[in-house]
Order: sequence, then C-alpha cells, then structure tokens
Amino acid sequence: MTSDDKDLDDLFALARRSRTDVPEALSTRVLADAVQAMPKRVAPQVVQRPAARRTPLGLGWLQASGLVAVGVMGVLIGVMNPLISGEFGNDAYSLSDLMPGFQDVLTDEAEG
Amino acid sequence: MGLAGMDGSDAPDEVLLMAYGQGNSHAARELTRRFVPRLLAYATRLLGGDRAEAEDVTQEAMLRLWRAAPGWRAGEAKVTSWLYPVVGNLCTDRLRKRKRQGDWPEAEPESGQPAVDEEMGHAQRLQALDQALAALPERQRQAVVLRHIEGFSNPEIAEIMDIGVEAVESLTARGKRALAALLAGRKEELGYDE
Repeated sequence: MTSDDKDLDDLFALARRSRTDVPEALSTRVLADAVQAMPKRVAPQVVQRPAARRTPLGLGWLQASGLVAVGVMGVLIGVMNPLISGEFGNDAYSLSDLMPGFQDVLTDEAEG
Repeated sequence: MGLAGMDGSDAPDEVLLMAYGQGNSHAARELTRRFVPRLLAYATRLLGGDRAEAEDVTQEAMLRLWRAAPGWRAGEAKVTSWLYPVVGNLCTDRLRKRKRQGDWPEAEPESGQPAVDEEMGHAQRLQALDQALAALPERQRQAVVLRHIEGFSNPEIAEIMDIGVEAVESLTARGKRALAALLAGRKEELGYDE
C-alpha cells in the first residue's frame, strides 16, 4: 500500500465516522409523507344486525305471537272443556238440558 | 408481519418496511431514523455538495419507499439495495438537468487557502475529500462512495448500479487513482506527510 492509498483510506475512514446532521425540517417532511402514504389499517367489518322490530307494547314480534297463541289456546280450552266433559262445576248436564227437544226429534225419526 | 417483542430498533429493515405497509407508524419513524442520514450524506456527495438538492432527493426517495411498502414481499430485496439505486437515479437526473442548464459548479480544489500551520481539522479534510469526489466522473464517484464510504461490497454495488462486479472493481480502482491524484497536491495542507 502506498502512502497515497493510506492517506486516502484515512480520509474515507474519517468520512465513515462523520455523522450527517439531518435538519429537523427534513425529518418532519419525510414523516409527514409517511403518514400520508401509509396504507390504512383494515378495520374489521362490524356487521350490523337489523334493529329488532318492536310491537307497541315493547315486545318483539316473536314474543307477541307467543302470547297471542297462548291466549287463544286458553280460550279454546276454556270453551271446549265443558262440552267435552259435559260438566260445569259440580252440576251434571244431559244433552236434553243443553238442547231441549233434541231427544224428541231423535224419537220421531226412529218411529217414523 | 409485526414487531412483537421488539421496539423496532432491532428489527431488520425489511420487517420494518412490511410493518409500515400494514399501518405501523413506529416502523416509519425507525426507518426514517435509519435511512435519512445515510441517504442524505450519499446524495450530498453525489450532487457535489449541494445540500438543498440532496434533501429533496432524500425526501423523494423515502416517499417512493413508503409507496412501495404495501407490495413489499419478504426475501424479495434488501431495502438498501432498493433505496440506493433510487437515490443514484434521482441524483443523475438532477446532474443532467444542471449540465443542460450550464449550471455545473466546478469542484476545483480550493488552492492557496491559508492552511493552518499545524494540522487541518476534520471538517476541512472532509471538505477536501468531498471536493475531490465532486471532480470525479459521475459513475466513478458513485462507485467509490458506495465502496469506501457507505461500506457496500462489490457484489452489492454491482446490484445497486446494475453493472457487473468487474465493472465495479474497475470504477473504484480508477476512482481511487483519480482521487489520489487530485489530493496529491494538497497533502501538506491536509496534514499528511509528503
């Protein structure tokens, strides 16, 4: 290695060691570009469920239909039960009590 | 890819860039801290000491990096191998434009400076080196700076400059000889023994 080479290598080493001062304004500009060019994070899609429709009483349609069905069943049971069992309370009723003359019709038809 | 388990200062450049591509702003800050001083120094030397233009080039190169981030794939390229050619090309464009406009600052070594008798300060030596570098042909200057100041290997320089390794060796050898010749007359002034 010649002395020229050595001197040059010393200069290169000096250049490698020297710190380049970056102006604050340049860093700010570079970071502003970074923010502007930054791909937006993909936000997870929130699937909105449609708002449940409410009846005027504040119940959902499902609950309201259930209540109506239960009500109708109650009425049906109430009406049908005496007919099926033939009883109201403790009193016994015959068919002629409920439909007077019906027995006569049946008898006339049998004789005629 | 994230930066889990590290504050970013230990992460490889490529990991940081991909993290930025996924919206990580800390990665942008770390990449800026790592690359802006190096690119600014490199561009300043390629542009013969024009600091204002070197700042513009640095900003433009970093902007291109930000824009390339979303498509960056692991193992595809090194960030340095991508950035340095961008800076080199931007500087070449500006130098050509300068030449066309006849606005080429002659980088003549300042001779006859009243050298301080004893020793030149570091700053003055660096100035002398930069002036000599500015007097080299553009490709020689680029190869010498990449090899001897930025510390790249010849194959890396070949990739950056898009030439063969032999061409790199030739450019750096000729560049060094030219630099030695340019600085020969200033040895005493630079504080070196004759």
